[in-house]
Amino acid sequence: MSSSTSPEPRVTRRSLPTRMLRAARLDGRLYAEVRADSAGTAQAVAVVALVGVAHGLGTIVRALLAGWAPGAAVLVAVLAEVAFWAVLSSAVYLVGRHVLGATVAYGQVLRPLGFASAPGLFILGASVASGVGAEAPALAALALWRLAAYFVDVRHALGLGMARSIAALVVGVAATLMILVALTGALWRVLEPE
Amino acid sequence: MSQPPAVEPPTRAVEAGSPWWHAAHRLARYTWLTLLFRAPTAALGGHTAPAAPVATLARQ
Repeated sequence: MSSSTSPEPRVTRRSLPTRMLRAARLDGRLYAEVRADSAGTAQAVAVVALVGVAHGLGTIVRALLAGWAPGAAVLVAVLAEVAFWAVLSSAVYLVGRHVLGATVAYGQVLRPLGFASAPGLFILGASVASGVGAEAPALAALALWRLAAYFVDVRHALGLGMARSIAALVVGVAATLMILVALTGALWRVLEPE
Repeated sequence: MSQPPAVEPPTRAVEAGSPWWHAAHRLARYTWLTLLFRAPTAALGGHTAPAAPVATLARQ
């Protein structure tokens, strides 16, 4: 048996729910498997789409429970999920390949990163928790879960050590947050011009 | 008499009412990114806890 950061593992076709469950359980072999499965991009897109829909529904639930109008917030939630995937994968790829020296193609970062967003489906549970005053801890737990999945994903996608993987993830998340803030501001100027 | 050095006004980015802060606030409020934004926006002077100034006013 090869180590966790060894070259391409044997690709086996798996159903989407099985792969999503393994991704949510932070199964490193799943991320290595998806990295090598060039035909798995459609599944990664499906995961992000499902999480985006869950995110939109979760925002509606939180809005109704908190008494504010969902409106454009749903659009922000759905688009943020897709943009987070696209921007974070680009940032991790650029930092990993051109700064940290990883030998990786963009698709090999993009696919596993889509699966790493699988814990985001639990945004619906976290949203319902807001009805009993537990929104902050529920969202905090979800954020930590997602960050843990991203770390396992980046480690296997880039094939680097722990310190370099953390560096790529921190730089990638920071750059992604700045770009998402700018995109949200631009979207809001379109939705609600002064 | 020499003039005192001019005080650098706060940049728009750290003002509580700046477009950047409002965009960050919306992104945090409507998505799962709340935790990631709470500490940075507090460090930049954002109003992450509106109860604090209300309590301050109540004591005065």
